Amino acid sequence: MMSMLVAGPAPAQRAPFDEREVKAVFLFNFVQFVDWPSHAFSSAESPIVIGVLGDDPFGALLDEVVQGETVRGRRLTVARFRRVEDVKSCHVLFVSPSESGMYEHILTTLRAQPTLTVGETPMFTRRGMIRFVTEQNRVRLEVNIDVAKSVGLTISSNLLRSARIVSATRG
Amino acid sequence: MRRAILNGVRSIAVCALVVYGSDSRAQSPAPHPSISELKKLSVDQLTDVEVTLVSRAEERLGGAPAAITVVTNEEIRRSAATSVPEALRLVPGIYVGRQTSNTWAISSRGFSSITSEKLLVLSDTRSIYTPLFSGVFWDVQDYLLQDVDRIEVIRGPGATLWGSNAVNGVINITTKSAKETQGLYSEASAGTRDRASAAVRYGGRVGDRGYYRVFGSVVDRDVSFIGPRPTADDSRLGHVGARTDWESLDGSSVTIQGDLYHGTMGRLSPSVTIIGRPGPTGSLNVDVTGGNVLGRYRRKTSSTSDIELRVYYDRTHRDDPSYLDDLHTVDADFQQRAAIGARQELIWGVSARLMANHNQGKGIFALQPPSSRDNLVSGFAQDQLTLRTSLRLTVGTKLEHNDFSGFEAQPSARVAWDISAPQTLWAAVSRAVRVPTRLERDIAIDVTNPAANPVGRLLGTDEFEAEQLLAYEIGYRRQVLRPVFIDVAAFHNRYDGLASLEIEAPFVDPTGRTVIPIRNRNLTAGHSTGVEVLGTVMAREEWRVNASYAYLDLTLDPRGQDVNRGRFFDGATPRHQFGLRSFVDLPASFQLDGQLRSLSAVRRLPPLVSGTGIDGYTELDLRLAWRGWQQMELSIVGQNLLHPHHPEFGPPEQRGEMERGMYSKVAWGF
Repeated sequence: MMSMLVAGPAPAQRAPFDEREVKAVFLFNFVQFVDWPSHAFSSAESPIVIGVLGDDPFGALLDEVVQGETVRGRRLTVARFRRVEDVKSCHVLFVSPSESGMYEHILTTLRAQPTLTVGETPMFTRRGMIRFVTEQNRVRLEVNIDVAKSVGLTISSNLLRSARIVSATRG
Repeated sequence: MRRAILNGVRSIAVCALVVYGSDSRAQSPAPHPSISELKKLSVDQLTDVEVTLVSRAEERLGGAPAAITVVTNEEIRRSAATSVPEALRLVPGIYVGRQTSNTWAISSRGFSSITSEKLLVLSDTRSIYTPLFSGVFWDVQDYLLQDVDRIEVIRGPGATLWGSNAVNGVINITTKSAKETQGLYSEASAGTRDRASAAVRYGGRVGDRGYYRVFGSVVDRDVSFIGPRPTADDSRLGHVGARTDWESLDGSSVTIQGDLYHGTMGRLSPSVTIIGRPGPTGSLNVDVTGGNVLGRYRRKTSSTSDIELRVYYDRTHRDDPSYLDDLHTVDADFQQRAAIGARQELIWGVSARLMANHNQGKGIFALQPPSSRDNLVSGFAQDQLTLRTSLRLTVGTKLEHNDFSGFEAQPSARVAWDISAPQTLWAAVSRAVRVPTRLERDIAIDVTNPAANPVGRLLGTDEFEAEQLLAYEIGYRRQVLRPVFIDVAAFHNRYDGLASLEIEAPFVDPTGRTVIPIRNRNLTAGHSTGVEVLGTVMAREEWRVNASYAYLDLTLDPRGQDVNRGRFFDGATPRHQFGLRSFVDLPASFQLDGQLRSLSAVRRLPPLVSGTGIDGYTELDLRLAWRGWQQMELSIVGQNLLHPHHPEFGPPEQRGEMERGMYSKVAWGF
């Protein structure tokens, strides 16, 4: 399965945007709209880490998006993980569709960590926090606030306003 | 016979990958104007940005210069299909006719029969057609559909990459990796046609980077609508299998997988009948047993090249009332894919296959000699050149040596033009051959009373040549943008040297009897023209509609006597096939899916002496599923709802009719 990382349409054609670009920018935006508990960082200088678990659909996009950015005085870095056991000190984690067979295991492993979990397959928000929903050629958000609250994450109402909210007790 | 279509598609299609995508992380990120634009937007605005979507299936299609359709796992799951042949009904241009509960006529672009031979079928890159007649015994191609990742179908020749038999199409069935099938999954169903079926799969991990799965399944299928007769077409099959996948950090991977199955297939009529000679009587059950083991090693040798080595062993055993057949196949295959500079991608490979077949006739049927070892050695090379960013040319050839017809060259040239980002126009010219089979070379059957003098004898010959096709294709695909996806392909095929049976000059055999030989020759020519259209409209995320239409006009021109009426194959495939599918996600975790198919008549078939054929039909399948509780899915499915029963294929004495049916299923752990 190596190198199935997809060529996008020729870059000369700019609009509409590639969905991966929009999703990568969303991952960056989440950092600005989520408050992590202080124990999520080992020191005042530790960076905010955006991680990708499994096959990375973004290629270099995500690195480009966060390059040179700081949020609340912290640098942003990108990390890529093959296994959920390797995920340590990660603040936003995009769980690739390649891991869809392992959501139970992944989300159970992460249930005590202050990591904002993001996915895009239909059942993701049962136990994950944010799901990219593509409808009518737009990337929308579905948020399960209860799961986020349970690990001490606070999601700003500015983000929630434009999202569809689901709760843990419902579908 | 060949290779994950994945690789093929990649190579014939996605060379742009090398230019843009393949290892974009390694390239230094050039500042991207769009990214900075997007970062300036508020979340509200961002949710309103129009995007081009890249679905996994469509992504694979890319700008492929071939008529490719991918049936995804979700489409299979949300259809009424309980087997791969039924799932193939979803593909435009593929004809699926169910002759009995367990025999199928499956063809691409014409020449339908239960031994359809101009089609190459691969299961995880393992060839599953039999060298006996180059067709597929679909009755033993059993899958846990939950673990089938996708079925890729190429209509038209794929011989340059995949090799002989890929004349009118290639079907590649790909199962999920062990990594994608972790945990416990189980399903059970009960119904009127598939009386009962059950399956269990468990997937786990081995060490840090290894995954495995094991599974077992059983299915019991009921008789079709047959009226009173001494035979019945019910069947039972048990199947166990396992797969392991290891991945290393540098992108190398090893896969080892295997299957074992055993079952009993009821037949309505003997596999071989000769008018005037007594055949097997009573209940006609075929005992089927088989297994295979396959190993595959993939390695990324650099950022722009990878290699793959694959070896398999396959064994099948059929105890048919007309014959006993044992086949052992060993196949080894190596291929490399490499980018040459920024504008070329080369893929080349070599492979060898050894087939040891023993077929012992019982009574009428006989191959002479009963045992045969046949080899096949081949090499291929294909280069894709990016002429301009929007124009790609793919040229290649396969050179193969087989023990039936010697050397065969199968070249092709394909050109793809990306008119704009989501639109591709393509055209292709290719040559493909269908190599002779044991039936055509080794058959020896008396077709008149064996004691009489003279005697008519059906005889194979070494002189039988490969059937040849020269195909011209053109297609258009609007592949990326939703809500509308359109794929159109048109073709004109010219066939030469198609199989025919000819009465030849009598001779006196060593026993002093006069033999009137009827031999397999290549005296029929033909041509076909057709169009296949597939359109998907995804109006809302929760509702998708998909319509397809296929037209086929085949003309066959016998230049000899054509004793067995092979020319009647011109009517064996419906001229028009129409399909409509709808997938709806309802509130409260319900799904309602429907599938309507409408086929024009099978006008005539070689075994139908009367020439009357079978009327066209329209049928509807519906599925209602609920996945609202835990990891459980409940579904109820109605099949062939519009009529009590209808015939699909085959002469009256050999076919059963397909009844209206329903089944309900519970699946846990999806």
